[in-house]
Amino acid sequence: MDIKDKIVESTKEIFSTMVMMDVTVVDQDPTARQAIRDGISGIIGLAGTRKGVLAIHIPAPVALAITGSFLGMEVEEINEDVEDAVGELANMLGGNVKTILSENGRDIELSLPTTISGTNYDFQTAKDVEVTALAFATDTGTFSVELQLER
Amino acid sequence: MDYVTVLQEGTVEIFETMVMLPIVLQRVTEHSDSTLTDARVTGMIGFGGTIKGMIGVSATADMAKIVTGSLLGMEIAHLDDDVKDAFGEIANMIAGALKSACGENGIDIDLAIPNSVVGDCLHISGLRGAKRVVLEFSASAGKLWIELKYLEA
Repeated sequence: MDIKDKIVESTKEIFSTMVMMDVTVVDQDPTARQAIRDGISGIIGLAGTRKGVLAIHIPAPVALAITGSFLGMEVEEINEDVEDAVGELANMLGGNVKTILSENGRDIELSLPTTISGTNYDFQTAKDVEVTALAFATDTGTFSVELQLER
Repeated sequence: MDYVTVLQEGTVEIFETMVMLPIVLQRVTEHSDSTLTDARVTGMIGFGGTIKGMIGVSATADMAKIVTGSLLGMEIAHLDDDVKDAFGEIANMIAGALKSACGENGIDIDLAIPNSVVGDCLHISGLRGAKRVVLEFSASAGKLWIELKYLEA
């Protein structure tokens, strides 16, 4: 099983067990970089034997639905609850990636997660990284998960 | 360890020697809520180890262009890829200064890789339970913020 399949598996598992939402992989290439309009991104760094960044990019309506399902309450705007939920998602995904990349996850450390939200923004990764990006569909829309690893 | 002093001295030195643009510390704030600054560009890098956290370097549009132009020795007209690269690299350098200061104090940290963002109305969140300090610097071109979020294990 390659890393892409493992990320798909962890993302599905985190969503079904923690967020209580089923997600499916969408056959589209999220690597085609474009500005994110009105959304929120959760990112967490990986340091140690493998260095990298795990990011989850979510359009605002999808982020509200995810947070609502995660917390079991209505969420109407991108607020601190949404930031916490998206940061926590990045944290959980980062934790799984750490285990995927290293036996028992011992030789890799996670940073703290952070979120960035905005009306129109775009990311740039460091140079010379290998990017694995996947798009997932929910009932409200799609989001993407991206793993950047230093070569 | 006095993180504020480490960040202040590291940032001032990097701006004097690498960016060639002197900047002055205006104020230091400690807070945990999400910030809406006038920042249009942010470079950030995570670190893990005995303490884990994230360093962010943000600037207003004009300041970002001047900083990038000064670092690269060329005129910058737009918030383009050069600006993003420059802010990722500055975040990396400041994190390097933090790493070596930590090492001298027996604190072991490892750096992740930088990412940068250009956008409108950027909110950057902290993390519940984590400490957050923001150092605001200024130069004639505008403002620049260095932000450290960390959690001691």
